Amino acid sequence: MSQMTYGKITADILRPIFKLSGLWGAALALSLCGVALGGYCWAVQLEQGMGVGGFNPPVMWGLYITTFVFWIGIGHAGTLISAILFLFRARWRTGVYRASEAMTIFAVMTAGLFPILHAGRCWYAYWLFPYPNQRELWPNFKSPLVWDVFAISTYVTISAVFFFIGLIPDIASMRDKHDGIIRKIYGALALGWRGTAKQWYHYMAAYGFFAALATPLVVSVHSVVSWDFAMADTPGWHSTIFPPYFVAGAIFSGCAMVLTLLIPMRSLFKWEEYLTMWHFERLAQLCLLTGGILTYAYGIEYFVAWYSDNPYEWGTFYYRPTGDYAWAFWTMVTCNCIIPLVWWSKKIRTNLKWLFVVSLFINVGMWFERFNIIATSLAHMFDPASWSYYLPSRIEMGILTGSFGWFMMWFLLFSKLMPQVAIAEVKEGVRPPLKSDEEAA
Amino acid sequence: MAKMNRRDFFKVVGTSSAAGLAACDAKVPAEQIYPYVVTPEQIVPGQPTFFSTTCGGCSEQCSVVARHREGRVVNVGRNPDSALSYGVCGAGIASVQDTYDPDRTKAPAKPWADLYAEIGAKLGAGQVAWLGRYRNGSLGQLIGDFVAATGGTAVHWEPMGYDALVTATEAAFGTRTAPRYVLDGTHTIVSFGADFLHTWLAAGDHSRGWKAARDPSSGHVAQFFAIEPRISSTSAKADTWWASRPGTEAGVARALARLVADKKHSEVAKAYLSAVDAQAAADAAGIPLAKLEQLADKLAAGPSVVFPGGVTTAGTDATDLAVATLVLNAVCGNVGETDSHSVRIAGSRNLGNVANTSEVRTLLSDCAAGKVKTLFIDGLDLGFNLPADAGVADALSKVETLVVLAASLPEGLPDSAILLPTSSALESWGDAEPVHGVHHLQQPAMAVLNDTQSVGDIVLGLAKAAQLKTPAAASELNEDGSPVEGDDILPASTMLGTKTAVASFEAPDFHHYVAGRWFADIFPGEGTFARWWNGALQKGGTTATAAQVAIELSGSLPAPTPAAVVDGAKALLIYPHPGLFDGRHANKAWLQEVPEPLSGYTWGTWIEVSPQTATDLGVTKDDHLSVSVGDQSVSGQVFISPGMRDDAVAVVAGNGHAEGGRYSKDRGSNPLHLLSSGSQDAQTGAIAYLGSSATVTRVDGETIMRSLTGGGDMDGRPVALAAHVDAVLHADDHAEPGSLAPTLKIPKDPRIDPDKYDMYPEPEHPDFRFAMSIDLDTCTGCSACEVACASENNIPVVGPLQQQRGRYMGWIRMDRFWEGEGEHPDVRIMPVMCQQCSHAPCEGVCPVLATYHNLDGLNAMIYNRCVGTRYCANNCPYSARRFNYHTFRWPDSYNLMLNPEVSTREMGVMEKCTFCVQRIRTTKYEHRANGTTPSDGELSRLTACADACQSDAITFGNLKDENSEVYTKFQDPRAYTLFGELNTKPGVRYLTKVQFHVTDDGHHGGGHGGDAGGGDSHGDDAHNGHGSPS
Repeated sequence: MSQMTYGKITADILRPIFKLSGLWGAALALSLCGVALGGYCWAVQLEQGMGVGGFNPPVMWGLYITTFVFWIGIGHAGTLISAILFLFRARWRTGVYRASEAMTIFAVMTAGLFPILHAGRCWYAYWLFPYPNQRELWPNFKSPLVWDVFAISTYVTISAVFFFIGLIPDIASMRDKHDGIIRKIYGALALGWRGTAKQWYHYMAAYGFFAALATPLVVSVHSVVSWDFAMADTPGWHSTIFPPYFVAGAIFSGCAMVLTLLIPMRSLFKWEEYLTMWHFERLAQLCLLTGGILTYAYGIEYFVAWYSDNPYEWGTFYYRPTGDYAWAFWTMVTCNCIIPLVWWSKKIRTNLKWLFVVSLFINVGMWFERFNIIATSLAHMFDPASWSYYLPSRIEMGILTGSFGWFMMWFLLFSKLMPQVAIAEVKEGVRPPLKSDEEAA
Repeated sequence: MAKMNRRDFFKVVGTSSAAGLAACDAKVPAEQIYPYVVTPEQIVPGQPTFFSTTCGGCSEQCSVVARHREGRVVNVGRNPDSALSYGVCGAGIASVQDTYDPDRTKAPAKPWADLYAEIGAKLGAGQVAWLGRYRNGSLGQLIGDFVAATGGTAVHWEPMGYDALVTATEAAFGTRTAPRYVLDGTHTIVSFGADFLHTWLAAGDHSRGWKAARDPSSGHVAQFFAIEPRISSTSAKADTWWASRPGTEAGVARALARLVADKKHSEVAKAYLSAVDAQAAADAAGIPLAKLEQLADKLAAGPSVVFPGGVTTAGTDATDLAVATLVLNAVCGNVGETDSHSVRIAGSRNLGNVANTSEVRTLLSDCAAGKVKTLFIDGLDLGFNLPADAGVADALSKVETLVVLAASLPEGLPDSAILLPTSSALESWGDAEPVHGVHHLQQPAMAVLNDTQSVGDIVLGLAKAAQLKTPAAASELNEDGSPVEGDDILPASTMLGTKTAVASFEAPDFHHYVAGRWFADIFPGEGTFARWWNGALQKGGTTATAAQVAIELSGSLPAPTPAAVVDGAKALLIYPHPGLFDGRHANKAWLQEVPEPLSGYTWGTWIEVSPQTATDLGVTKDDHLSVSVGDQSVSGQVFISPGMRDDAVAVVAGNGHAEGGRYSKDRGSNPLHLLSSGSQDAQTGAIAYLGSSATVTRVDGETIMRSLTGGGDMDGRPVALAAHVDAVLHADDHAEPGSLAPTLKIPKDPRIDPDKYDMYPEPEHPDFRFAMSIDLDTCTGCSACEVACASENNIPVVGPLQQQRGRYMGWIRMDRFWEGEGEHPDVRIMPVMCQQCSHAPCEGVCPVLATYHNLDGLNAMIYNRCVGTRYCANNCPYSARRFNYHTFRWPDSYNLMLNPEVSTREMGVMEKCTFCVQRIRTTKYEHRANGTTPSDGELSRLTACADACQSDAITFGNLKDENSEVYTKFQDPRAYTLFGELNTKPGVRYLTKVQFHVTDDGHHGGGHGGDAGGGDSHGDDAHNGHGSPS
């Protein structure tokens, strides 16, 4: 990047914001259609009840919780990249962290819809919060769902603050490029950023502080989400391995989602200089690591189920690959454990097309992982006489589609409001302009 | 409005409230009737009143108690004061749905008086006939008198009835009656196809006897042998099932009689048995002779009872089979009148006036020939219950005046039929004599809802309109010889108003007719009639000594008439639906909704084939089959039953109504239309439900039913357990609870203090720990508990589409397993409801505390607090929780049936069994007001399910009371907690089934008294606070 200048960086990164592209418009229109479909399906569900879903007792949780965990998992990579890798001074995060952090925020916003969508009487969902009330009723602090409420609301708050802090210098850049009322709005958001040395000094301290604060959340949030399952006595759920297994899975899926989002964005926004193969290769390597952990966890689950000699546990684990849900199980194994192995070849993991295709498989596989955990365990609980088989209904599929539309809508809108690559940090990686350069020129 | 002041406001409010309250009175019965415990003056809003009455559901005519709230009956339960006291079957409980049937005809086409005048005018012309349901008691007498006065004939017929049995009893013992079968004290029970625990003859009485016969504490457990082509809901309880070739059962019965006679050197029926070739009969039936010999040894050795054929085995030799079983009973010494005799002819079932089906056929051909001008049809659905070629429509169209007494018009009638809409049993006066000498009174438990009249009142109205004269010497109250003096013996003024109670056409209404007959025929003559009558009303009836009848086996028994055995094709078997019976209960939503226990199917007709047949036809559980006989065929979803012969196919009756209400119309298909009139019992003309030669083919069809009782495989898990009879009978008095139940062993770490196994402390139960024991051995799978639960707890009916998604809302479900590697499947049926755990997995996970453990040991459920996360249901190992997927609604008239003590639930809310918390509260509050404690007697049948259970398999009570029945049952070596190894500490314990065959697989087999871990690991679970687990 030796030929980079600060001016060129700012111009390159902000260019897509000011240049409307037809592709972007089409993508936004598609996302809005998805949102409309999801909204319609939810309206039907509110009107008629949860029965419009495919719930098939005793499978009481299905696609909604599957998708909730999926999006929460997606949300993890962002914080990992922005906070943990920042603390470890992994330079390659610079190019990708803004987009992945945006992805985190929007993924958690999407995930947060699902517990509400899923509640039988979602209009009372606020009862899960410990708010002071006349009846002196409190939530049940023993319930993992209440822990979830705390974990996720904490996560969303810290992530949003951390995200915003990272944005401040770039908002200032946006401010400087605008006039009139828009300049005033950006100006307010920039909190008076002028880029003085003193501001940078405090800024870096705050950034480091929030990075440190966000780091444990990467581990804790998905651990708490995994307790929704691990704390229950349902065979296939009741397992101490769940927290690390879920965290690894979350990072795996999150990194894959970052690849899925950034590869098209790079060509769309002509950011080849900023999002290089170096970045993508690191992401692929992270996926290989976490995918390996995940595969190991799958194996250990089987070992524990067999070793425990618990007929219920083993029953569920035997059922997964051989029973009615074998298609879902083998989809998961193929997408999560087998296909990513091709990235061991450097040739493939440095090929954008391969990276993109494999990342899509991982996304699918990780959705199926959650589906496997939820549907197969519930369909084969303790009493064989009440075994069942669940498939999502059309309404649920509509809401799933809507969730992708919702997520993409925010992501696309954001790309027109804020720089998707952290301008200030990219500039840090460039040799600072020196007087001698000017003289040489 | 500005002028309205405070006083005016109160005037308006007061007047309108008074008007409203006056309107409420309209539902209070206008006639004086006597409540069960509380006198009418004490009717207060919010307090139930109880009326004894008689169920009109079937010919068993049980006495029941109707619970009445604010002018309407909300449910019916058992009558503990009846001479024949036991629970109420599902159809009996669902009889409230007769009253509130949204599809009932609510008023006659013309005013009643006009109808009476119109029909009465025709009666003078003669050629009158009556074709009706089986009626006895006052109504039977009144109809008899009425038809006799018109010079006509009356035929009382029961579809899927007992004409073969009563004819056989007449042939064998000279009395036209159906024996009363008493199982108590028997050591061996044999059935040739009678569904005696569910639909046949007197299922309630038999279930009560079944419980007594299977009680290990009596020192003996009766062994049940079923000899029939398929495992029915009754033979699911059989210890041994021999799949006889369809149509050979009579031969087997005779062979057994011969073998027993030989062993006992008996001279009974020697001539009849002399020609019997046991070997040939055994070969024909496909049962090894050695097995019959073993059974004969048992029959010769101890008290036994032999049931005849039921509907499934009613072939062309139905009477022949019944005679053979009666002879077998006689040879075994079972027939007699004392308590030691299991087959009673004196004190028999009062079914003597059931007509043979041949009489129905004759009457119909008379109609077709124009010999009948006026025909009354009373409560029969002839077009549904007779074969298609019986010519019902044609015959009835030739009748000039066709009068139908029914709740709504049945199918296949000409347009000219005049419908007289009848009141339901709960709205009518009446009586019954189900067993000779036992009289049940039927009093209206509520006012008539619509403009309908009871059958008795209709007949009286017609008789008066036609100015008929009572033929026999009527017994009139005022002409009884004894002068009527003083208040104490003057029923006319004290009880029946100023009208005279006479059993004649002069009676002002049927109420007075019944009272008049009771005064004349049943009143013992001691004390005052009024007081005695009131007492009878309160108790639901009375008993009197039955007339003695001859019980000598006739010397000239009819010669055997063997049935033709189907060769090549499959033999067709038709069996009654355990809930809908012959189809008469098809419009009762509860009975359609509750899964049939063996198939688990609801709301339709299914075709039952063996696994081999299914393989041959290439069908699986979701496929459809068509069964054809001649040019008739029915199709339906397949039910693959391991309890089925390969050379037979069975179709369930009950559905397939072309006309009917919203729950019955166009649902499934009617297999009776497969039969031809030529296929009938040789001696009585009864429809041969067995033995038509059928072809089965695979057809396309939409999967509409899903088994709600499970796939049948226990998957090696300890769910519905069994213990071997020897281990049970020889169990040590000090055996640990659960020591006979082969549950999972959980090794315990000796280093851990047993008191510290639990993270959370034991819940406190200061006064009560409500608990329930369920005996899997006596449970017959009749599903009455499910219906009772729906009735008590306002459980919605979700309908077939939701059922297909498994969204059955019943708080009790029936699990059915086909277990065992023996000769035939060992059927395990297990009712599962909320186990009210002390350490309930559901409670901890609810984020809003909508479910919690209360001081009575219940998992309380607060519907209003529920958000609907459904986490509790996921975490319930018993899958006992039910979720309201939609706001399920009732037709308006069903709203009257709702129990006001239980709230209805809206969509998005979880619900489950509460141990009928409303009944617990009522009982506790009553006692708190008096400073007393509820006795075990009050609690042991408190819940709706325990009250309904005819075999008393369900016992409820307080574990803190160590003298309670439930506490005793909890200590039984057979008692185990379902999935107790999860340490949920349930408040429900199951008693294992008792089985006679030994299996190698100790896991669910014998359980020979080993030290199975279940016992010690959770031995003390349920009576919390009583020390720690040992």
